[in-house]
Amino acid sequence: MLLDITDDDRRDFALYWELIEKNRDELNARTLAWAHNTPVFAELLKNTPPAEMAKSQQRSLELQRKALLENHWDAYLADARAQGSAYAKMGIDFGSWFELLRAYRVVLAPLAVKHFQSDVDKIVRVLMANDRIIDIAMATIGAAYLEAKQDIISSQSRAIRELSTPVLQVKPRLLILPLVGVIDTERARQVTENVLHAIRARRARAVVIDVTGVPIVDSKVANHLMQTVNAAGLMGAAVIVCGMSPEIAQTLVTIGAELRGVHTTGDLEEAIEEADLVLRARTAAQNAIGNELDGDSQVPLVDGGANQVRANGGA
Amino acid sequence: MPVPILRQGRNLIAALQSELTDSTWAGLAELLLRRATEARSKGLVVDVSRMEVVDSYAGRTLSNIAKMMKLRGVATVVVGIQPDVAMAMVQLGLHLEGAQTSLDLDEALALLAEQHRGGHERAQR
Repeated sequence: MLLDITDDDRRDFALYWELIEKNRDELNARTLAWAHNTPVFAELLKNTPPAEMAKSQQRSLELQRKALLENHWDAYLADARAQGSAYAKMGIDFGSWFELLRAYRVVLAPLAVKHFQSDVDKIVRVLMANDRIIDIAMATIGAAYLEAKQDIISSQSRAIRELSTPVLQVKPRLLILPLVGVIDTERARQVTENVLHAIRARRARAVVIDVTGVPIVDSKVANHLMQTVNAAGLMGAAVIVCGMSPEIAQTLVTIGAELRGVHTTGDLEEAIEEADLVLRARTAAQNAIGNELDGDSQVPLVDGGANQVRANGGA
Repeated sequence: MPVPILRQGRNLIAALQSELTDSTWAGLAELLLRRATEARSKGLVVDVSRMEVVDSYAGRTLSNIAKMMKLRGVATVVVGIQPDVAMAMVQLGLHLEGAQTSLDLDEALALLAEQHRGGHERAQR
């Protein structure tokens, strides 16, 4: 494990500390000079007042001292995590951080050679200690960086999901749901949920789902459409799907997803006309899947009963 | 706990509670058929808005009741299926075959009245 620090390690850390204590000014000056020549960091340095810079440097040195000499890593690691997520939010490229580390290494090596007077054993131990410290810091910074990026991504995709599935009411009892963009499983579930809750909240009797803006309708999306239509039917609302492009129509039939039982029209205008018929005829409830035949068979039953009465009356 | 069954004109209204025991389910068809016969009902409204779960047993039972009712000339409307319940039912493949569905009691009664009137007009022709 990176953080399993042995006594040998601590001895190396002490050597390392001795080196950078002695050469602090030169290290700082050279690394800063390098940073000023790198666009991302130059920008960052320009926006940070010198006093604040000195303070934060002082702080991180103290944290490093506590970690290396007293083996108190918690505060140091917490600081590294905070830095990681700050870089992610500032949009700093993760790779440029390694360039800064490389500059530091390049500066450190000759200083080590000079300081330890060609004592090879000490030089190697100091450079290895430096690598170890960088590894620990970067593992922590990297994890925090990725975590912060992941947070940004998930909050954005949440925003997209919420923005992209509006349910509009065009007139009493009629809802329109324009779908735009690629539909994945998660979004399809969201769409279904939105439609069903809107049906309940606004007492819809007809819902038009417009898929004109959906570039790909594959078997998965088709399956979700079917489920939405069937579930809406169970709640007593008729669903009309419109806007399938000729290409999509061909694809769906070729892959065998014919959307059986789903009422479809070519464009939105036709769909709204159809929905009007549904609203006027008050037959929304009959449009639930499997009820088309049942609705028809009901007629002879009622008639049969009436005929029976007449036949009895006649006899 | 017995299922409350109300008579409204020529319709019966049964409000199912959230948790029905298996024995209540088993006796439900017979009870409703008997009441429909006594009352000479033309329509049956089953309100499931209190139910948080409709499993395959419940779904099949409702569907069977609707089919039995149809044999007696009674149209069945299931009302008040909640959004989450509707989604779960579709995923289970339950379509309440034989029954019609409607948003709420108002809608169901309007639907039944319409169908009843239609039947009358046809009978008079």
